[in-house]
Amino acid sequence: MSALIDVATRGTRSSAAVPLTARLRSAGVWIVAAVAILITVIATMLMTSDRDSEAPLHYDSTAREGTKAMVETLRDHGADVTTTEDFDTAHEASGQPGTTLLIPTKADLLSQGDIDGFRSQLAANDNRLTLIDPGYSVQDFTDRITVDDSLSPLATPDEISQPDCEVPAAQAAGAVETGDAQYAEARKGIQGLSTCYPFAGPGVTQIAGGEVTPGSAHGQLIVDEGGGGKGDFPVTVLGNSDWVTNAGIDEEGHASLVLSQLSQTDHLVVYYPTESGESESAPSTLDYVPSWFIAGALWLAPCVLILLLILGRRFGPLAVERLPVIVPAVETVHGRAALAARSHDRTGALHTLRTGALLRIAKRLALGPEAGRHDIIAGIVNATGRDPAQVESVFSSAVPRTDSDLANIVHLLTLIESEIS
Amino acid sequence: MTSRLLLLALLGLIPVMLVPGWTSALIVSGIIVIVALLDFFLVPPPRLVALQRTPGPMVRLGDATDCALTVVNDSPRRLRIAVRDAWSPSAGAKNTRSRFDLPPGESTQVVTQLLPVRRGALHADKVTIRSRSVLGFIARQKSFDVPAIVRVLPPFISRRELPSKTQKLRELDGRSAVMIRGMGTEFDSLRDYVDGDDVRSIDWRASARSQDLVVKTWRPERDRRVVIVVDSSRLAARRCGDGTIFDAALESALLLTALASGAGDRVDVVVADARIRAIASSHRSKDPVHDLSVALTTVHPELYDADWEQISTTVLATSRQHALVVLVTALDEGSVSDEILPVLPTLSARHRVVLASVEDPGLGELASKRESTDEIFTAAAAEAELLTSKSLQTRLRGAGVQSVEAGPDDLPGALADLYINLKATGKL
Repeated sequence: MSALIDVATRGTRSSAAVPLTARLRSAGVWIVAAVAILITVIATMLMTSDRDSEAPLHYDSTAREGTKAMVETLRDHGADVTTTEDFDTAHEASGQPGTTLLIPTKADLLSQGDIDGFRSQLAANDNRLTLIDPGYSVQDFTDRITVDDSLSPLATPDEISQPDCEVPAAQAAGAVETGDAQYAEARKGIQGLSTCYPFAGPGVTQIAGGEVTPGSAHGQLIVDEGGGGKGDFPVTVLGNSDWVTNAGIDEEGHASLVLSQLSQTDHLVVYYPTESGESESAPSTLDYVPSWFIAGALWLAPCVLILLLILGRRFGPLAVERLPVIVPAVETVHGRAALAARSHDRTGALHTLRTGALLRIAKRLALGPEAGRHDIIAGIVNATGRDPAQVESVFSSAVPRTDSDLANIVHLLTLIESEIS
Repeated sequence: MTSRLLLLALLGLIPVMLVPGWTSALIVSGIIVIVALLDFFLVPPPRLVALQRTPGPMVRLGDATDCALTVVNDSPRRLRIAVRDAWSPSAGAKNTRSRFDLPPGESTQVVTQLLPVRRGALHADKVTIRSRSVLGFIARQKSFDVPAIVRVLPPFISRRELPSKTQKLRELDGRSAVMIRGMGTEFDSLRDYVDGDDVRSIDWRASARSQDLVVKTWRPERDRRVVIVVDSSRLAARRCGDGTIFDAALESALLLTALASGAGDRVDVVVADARIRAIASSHRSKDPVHDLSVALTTVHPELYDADWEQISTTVLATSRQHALVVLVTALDEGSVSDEILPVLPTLSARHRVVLASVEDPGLGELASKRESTDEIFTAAAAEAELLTSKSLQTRLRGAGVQSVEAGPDDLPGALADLYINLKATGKL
C-alpha cells in the first residue's frame, strides 16, 4: 500500500495573508456592536443629565421653570457666578469676600447644621444671602424675617404689585407680578429692614391671631441689611419664584429687580440643594472592610479578564466539515400517513393493510397468483379454524366508522395473520 | 496571553495589597503592560515556520491511516511553538496538538493518526502555529493552509461473503469433483476417471485411444461482459441504516466486481446521475476491486434526477457484445415508469438487464407497528410503499427484467447469487 502514496498531494504552506478588508468584514459585527453600545451609553448619560437639570429653578434648566437665563445674563454682565449642587463647594465659595449666596429653592432640605454653617460663613465675611420664596424655612436662616400669616383669607390681591417702598432697586424696577406669599418682619419695628411690593387690592387687610402682629412691615420683597449685631448678615427674600424663571424674567420689572439684587457683589454662588446628601448617609459595610482587602479584590478583576482572554482564545479556526447530501428516507411515508390521518381516510388505510396481509398470507399458504380474495379468505378459515363470518368481515366487508373501529379491525387482522405460519 | 501573564498579574496582587491605592495599582498595571508589550515584540512571528504535509496511504473506511506534518525552522531565531494540525471531524484525527522547541535550521515531524469515519477524499484543514518567546507572557498565533488529501475507499464489508460465493462459482468449474454439465458450460479438458465421476461424461473415443477411462471436464463460460450501473441520483442519497442507499449500492457493485472478475468475466462499472460520474473497468486491471474503489472514492450522491437515456447510451457504447447489465437503483414508481421503462427495450434488445434495489429496513418496521391510530396510518402508508415496489417488480418481470430487492446488508449477497444463478444456467 505504501507504494500508493500519492506524492502529488503532498502540500506545503500556501499564502496565509488575510486581507484587511476580510478581517474587517469578519470583525464588522463586533465593531458595529461596540459602536452601538457606546452610542447607547452616551445617549443614556445625556438623557439622565438632561432630566436632572429639568428640575424647577435649576440653574442648568432651559425649561420654563428653569433659571438658566438669569444665570447666563448675570455671567454676561461680568458677574462671577459659581453654580453647584454640592454643599461643601457652596459652603467654601460663600466664604469668599464680596459674595452673594443664592438658594433658589428647596431650602427646607438643608439640615440645621448646614444652615448654621452657611450663617457663620456669611456672617464672618459679611456676605449676602438671597432666598427665593423660602416659606417657613426662612426662619432657620434669620430670626428677623418670617412668613406673613396676618393676611385676611378674603383678600384678592391685584395681579400687579407696585413697589411702595424706598429701596432704589425696587423703585427702578417698577411694578411686578403678584405671587402667593408675603413675608414680614418677625417683630414690629426691626431696624435696617425694608419691605416692598405689599399686596394691594380689594379685601387686603391684616388680621390678628397669627404670629405676625397687624401693622408689621410686610411685602413680597424684603431687603434686610442686618441689625449690625454679631452673627447678622444681609438677607434678601424674593417672595415670588416667577420673577427669576426663564418664562417670567422678561415680564414687567422682574429682570431689573432680580439682577440688581443679585449683582450687588462681585461673586454670586448659586447653590441648588439636592436630597441625596452623601455626608448624611449611614456608614456602609464597605467602611468596615480594610482597604488592602478592597484593593486586592479589585485587582482580581483584571486578573479574571486575563484568565478569560487566555481561556477564550481559540487555537485556530474551527475545522470545516464538507457534508455529503443525505435525505431522510421514510419522510414521505410519515407525510402521507399524516395526510391520511388528517383527512380520516380510514377505508383507504384499511384497504392497503388488507391487501398487504392477503398477499403475504397467499404466499404462505402457497396459493398462486390466480387465487382471488375469496380463495385466500377460505384458505385462512381452513388454516386457523376461525369463524368464516369474522374472517370475511375483517378481511373484506367491515367498514371502519371511527378510529377505534379501525384499530380493532387492524389488531384482529394482525392477530389472524400471525396465526398463519 | 498565556498562563504566565496570569501568574504575573496575580503576583501583582502582593504590592497592590501591601500599598492599597490607585497609584500603586496604576504603577503595577503599567509594569505588567510594559512587560507584555516588550514580550510581544520578542516573540518570533509564526510565519517564520515552513510547513509541509505528507498524507499517509489511502485506506478502506474503518482502517487507520496517518498524515505527517513537517515543521522546519528556516529562520535564525529559536522557535518555541505549539502546533495544531487540524482535520475535519470526519477524518477522526487524534492528538492534533503538539509543542516544539526548534533551534535555527532544525526541523521536526509530527505524525497525526487518522481514523476516518467517512468515505471520500478528506481534505486537511488549517495548521495553526502559536509562537512564544523565552519569557512566554504573550503568544502570537497564525493559521496556514497546508493542503493535503487522504483518500478513504469504500469499506467493502461484503468481501467476507466473497469466499463462499467464489466457492459456489467453483462448483460449476471442472476443478471441483461435482460437475454440472449443461447450458453455460464449455469443454475444458480430459482427465482420468476417478470413482464418483458422472459416467455420462466419459469420453469413449478418448478412452479407447488411451486404454484407460477418460472423462471430459467442463467449466463455466468465460470472458462474458458485465456492466454495473450505479445510480447516484437523489434517490440514492436516502439515509439507510448507518449510511445511505448509495453506500449499499457500492458494496453490491464491489462484491459483484470481485466475483465476476475472479470468474474471468470483464466488468465495467458506470456511476451516473444527471451526468456520468465515474467509469471503471476490470479490463487489463491487476486488481479490479481496488481500481473500482479508487474510482468511486470521491463520488457522492447529488440531488439530481438520473438521466437514463444518457446512461443507456453509455452502456451501449461500453459493451457491443451481449452483456449482463445490472442497474443498481431505487424501485421508485415515478422514476421507474417514466424514465427506466422507456429505455429498457433498447437495452434488453442487446443485453440481459437485471435491476437491483436497496430495500429500506425502516419501512418493514413501520408497517409492523400497529398500536395506536397514528401508527396504523403510518403502517398503511408504509404498506402502500411496499405494495408499490412489489407491483413495480411484477411490471419489470413482464418487461423481461429480473429484479432483486433486499436490505442494505443483504443486497450484495443477493446480487451475487443472482449472478451465479445466471452463469450456471448459461444466461450470461
